[in-house]
Amino acid sequence: MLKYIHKKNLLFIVVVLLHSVISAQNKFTISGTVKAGETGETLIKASIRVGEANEGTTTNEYGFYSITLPKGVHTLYYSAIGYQELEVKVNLNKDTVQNIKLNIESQVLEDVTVEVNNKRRSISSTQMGMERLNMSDIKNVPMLLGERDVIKALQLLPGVKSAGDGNSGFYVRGGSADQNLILLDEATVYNASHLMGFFSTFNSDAIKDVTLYKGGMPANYGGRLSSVLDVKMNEGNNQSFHTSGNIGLIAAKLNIEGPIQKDKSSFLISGRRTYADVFTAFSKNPSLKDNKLYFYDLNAKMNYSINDKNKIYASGYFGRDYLKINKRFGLDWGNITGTLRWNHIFSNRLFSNTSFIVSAFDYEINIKSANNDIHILSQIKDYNLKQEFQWNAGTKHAVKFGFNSVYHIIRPGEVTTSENSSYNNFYLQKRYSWDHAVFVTDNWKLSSKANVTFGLRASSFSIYGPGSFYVLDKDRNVTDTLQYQKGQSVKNYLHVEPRVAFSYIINKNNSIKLSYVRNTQNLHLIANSSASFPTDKWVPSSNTLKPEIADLYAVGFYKNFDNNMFELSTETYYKSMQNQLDYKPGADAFGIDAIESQLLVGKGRAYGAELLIKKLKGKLTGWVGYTLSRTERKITGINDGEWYKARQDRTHDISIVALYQINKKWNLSGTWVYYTGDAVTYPAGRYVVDDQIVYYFTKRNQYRMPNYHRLDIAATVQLKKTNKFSSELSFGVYNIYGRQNAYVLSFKQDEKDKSKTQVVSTALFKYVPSISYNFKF
Amino acid sequence: MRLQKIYMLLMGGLSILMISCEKVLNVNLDSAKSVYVIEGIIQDNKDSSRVYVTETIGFNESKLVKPVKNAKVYITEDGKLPVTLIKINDGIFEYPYKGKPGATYNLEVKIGNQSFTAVSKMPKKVNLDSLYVTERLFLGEQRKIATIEFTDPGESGNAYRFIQRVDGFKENTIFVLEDKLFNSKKMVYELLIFEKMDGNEAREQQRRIDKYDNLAVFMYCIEKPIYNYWTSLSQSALGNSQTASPANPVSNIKGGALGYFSAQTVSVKELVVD
Repeated sequence: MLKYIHKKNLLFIVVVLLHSVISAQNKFTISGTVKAGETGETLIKASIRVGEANEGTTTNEYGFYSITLPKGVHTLYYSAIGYQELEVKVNLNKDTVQNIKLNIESQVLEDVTVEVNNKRRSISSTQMGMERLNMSDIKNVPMLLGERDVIKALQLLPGVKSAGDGNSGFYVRGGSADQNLILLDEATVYNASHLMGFFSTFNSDAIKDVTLYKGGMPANYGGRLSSVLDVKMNEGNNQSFHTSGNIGLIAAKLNIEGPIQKDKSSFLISGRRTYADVFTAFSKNPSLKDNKLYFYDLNAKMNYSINDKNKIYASGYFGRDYLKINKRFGLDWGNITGTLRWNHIFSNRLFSNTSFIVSAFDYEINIKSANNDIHILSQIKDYNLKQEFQWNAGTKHAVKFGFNSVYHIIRPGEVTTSENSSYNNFYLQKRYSWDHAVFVTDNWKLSSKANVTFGLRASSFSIYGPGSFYVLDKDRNVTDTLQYQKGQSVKNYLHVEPRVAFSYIINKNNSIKLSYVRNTQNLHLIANSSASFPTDKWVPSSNTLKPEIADLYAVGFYKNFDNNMFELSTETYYKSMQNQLDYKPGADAFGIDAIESQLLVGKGRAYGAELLIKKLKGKLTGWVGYTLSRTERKITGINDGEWYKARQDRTHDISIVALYQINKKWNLSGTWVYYTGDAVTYPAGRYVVDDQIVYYFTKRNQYRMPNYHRLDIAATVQLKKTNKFSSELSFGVYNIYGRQNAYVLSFKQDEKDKSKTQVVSTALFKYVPSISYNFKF
Repeated sequence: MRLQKIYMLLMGGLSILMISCEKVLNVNLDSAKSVYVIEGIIQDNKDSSRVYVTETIGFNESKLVKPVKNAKVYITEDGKLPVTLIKINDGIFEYPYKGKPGATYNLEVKIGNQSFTAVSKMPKKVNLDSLYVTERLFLGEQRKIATIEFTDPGESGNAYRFIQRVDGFKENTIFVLEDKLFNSKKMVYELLIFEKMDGNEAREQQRRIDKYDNLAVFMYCIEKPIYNYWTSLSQSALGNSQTASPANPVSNIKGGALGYFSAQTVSVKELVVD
């Protein structure tokens, strides 16, 4: 049934857009793929500029481009981050295929000038709130324990806030950590962190490109309120075999890649494992000695060209964390994703990609205590089919349309135990849902100065039986239970999500942009604690749990100056959020089917201004980012139903990143971060219950943690560089001036004077040194 | 099954790995207007049913407890006439009768023109079957652990609270269980010491049980709302904000007072550790 609806919708969209096709004979299309000459990796968002005008296009996520131009002679300039610009003259008198290979820029580094970004940022694009990171950008940024991490690098940009010291969780423009759609080769990553959040699941050696949308999300993305983090894995070198690796303080990595058919297809396998558990084995503390704590990641990918028009890709990720305490307690968790894709070029104007994606996250707990042997399992699993068409509909329109269908199965918790245990087996109900969406977006060039993007995403979220569903009263107590059979529809939510953006080029170096997007979210992560735990619970929308909705309005001004030496962006935004969730005080988060009865519902709002100045050229490069913002929630049952500051409300947030290339061998870098302390709740008094001191609380989050700041430095030295073998050594210090930044606050009575309440701050990281060795052959 | 506790342990382990350090912050805490705190207990043994009426204490006050002197306290057992409780000290009121399992009790506390009420039904009595000491590795040491056994009755909805006393000193870890995961089973439960023992400095540092100690474990059969009270108190009102947003515990007292009113049964086992 639903398939027919999709087809109908697609047909409708195609018909609506047909009018815009310019099929005059004096125009021809030039299309092709842009690749890196050295490795054969396709280049994402490589720029194709026509003449000296602002006209042009960029390659898509598979390196494909298509542009329609009048008949005649044109000069095309192909460029990409870190690659030399290539000038190509074409005499266009028929549709032409032009495949391009770009050479890496470091070969012309004689005078040691470095450019960390595009030669010309597309000031004309309507896209707002987007940040792209290339692995070479973050290569030299200092990191905790020297472990390169794309998410931590993104946290240095305005509008993106870290979830805590050294943490890879992040908040975008006032959203919560679960409101980020995190994709790895299109597969949803439900828990993007390792070791309780200190590392992200992304092994930087396997990553090609990272794009974060803080706003203005294109219509092909949906399902989360705050942001989209789209991570693409490397394809692997299709020219020759290479092995590279890294040995650091916390983890070691190994990367193998090579051609399957030279120039056409390739593979990549990349692994990482930490060895903190090896250190704890030598610890004098017996409680550490018997403990285990490690994780591993494995990324694998291959692609195969069937012919010029068809290419298939298979990629997968497997990662798992293990934690064990004294053989009595064990917790392990991880993500598995698999993506199978088929690129098909219908014509030089119509590109298609079909993806089938499986994504799963689960955790298992094992507890041994007295006679009890308990095993707990929880899992979320998706099957996802996605079809996307990219259509170059003439000189004025670039159109994307398609559909996406995801089937979610959630197993909230299953307890199994041995026969002689005190506990019974216990199963929470599985939840089943279908998530369908159709989308279309048209990038319309109104004039040489103005561009507009109209996007629309229509989505439906359907919840199916079998299972019991609950009717709640206004205090969210269960008043009735409804039974549903297998496959019986429980509830269906329909959403229309408009995505509109407009840009106006004031002159060659200045532009302004406006945008509005609506996003909805039907999978909610319910977390009560400030730290992120793998056991935080994913809950789907239900008959009583309504979808979260966010509306984001943004205005921006962009300027390039000093001959594109500097780039300035400012954006201001206002976001309103509906159906935001929090636990009731004392909620039973684990052992209850009617999880809705343990939640409180309210709304949120966030607004702020972001400023980013980048220096793109010279020996010294880097950026300064500043965010002024406010994030609030209003939830019935919390803070007397009044607006209160969300934990991540940080008034000021400053990041300074400086990269300095001394000579061909040595690189220095430093980052400085400052932000207003998190909003926290302090007690307003104390009392005694059962001879024990208990704290009395009034207003939520009315105080602040101490302000956070930190300076990190790093240096990289090239040890050897030949065509066959290269190696480098990196060292650095995290938090070099040793500030004890508060990680958590706790309250207790003074040991000497029990009538005095103390606020105790616990800091985690104070001067953490790191050293790592990288090699490639 | 107390996951929060396990996480706290775990974070503890992690923070040893990451050179962690604690310091006391110098902050000026504002005190809010004080509110009343009512702690009412009806038990099935003699002379132990009491109601404590106090007020919250501001941060700049050096008192340890602030009793309410002018309170009037009434208890009504189902079908009977209200009993006015006898004030035995400032803020401490005694109910001179033994509570009965299965009976419902109504509490009313009057302070000036304010009135606070609560209802609690005493659950059926379940006795402790045994108490013994086991040894296991815990918090980095081989430790002696009090272990108890009891049998949960057939019908579901039972909840329990346990207190252990070592040489008479109360150990402050809050142990509560509900039978959702072990209905009608024989329960073997280890009372792992997480908190300090009040009033004994040597004990406070050790958090352990030693040979020759007098060990006593009290088991209380409580109602679900009281289970919720202790769960929410231990999650969010003891000053450790790692696991939940700080908040007041979920009270069964109506009228805006903090605290709880619990009609509960008591069963005790004692031994000398060898």
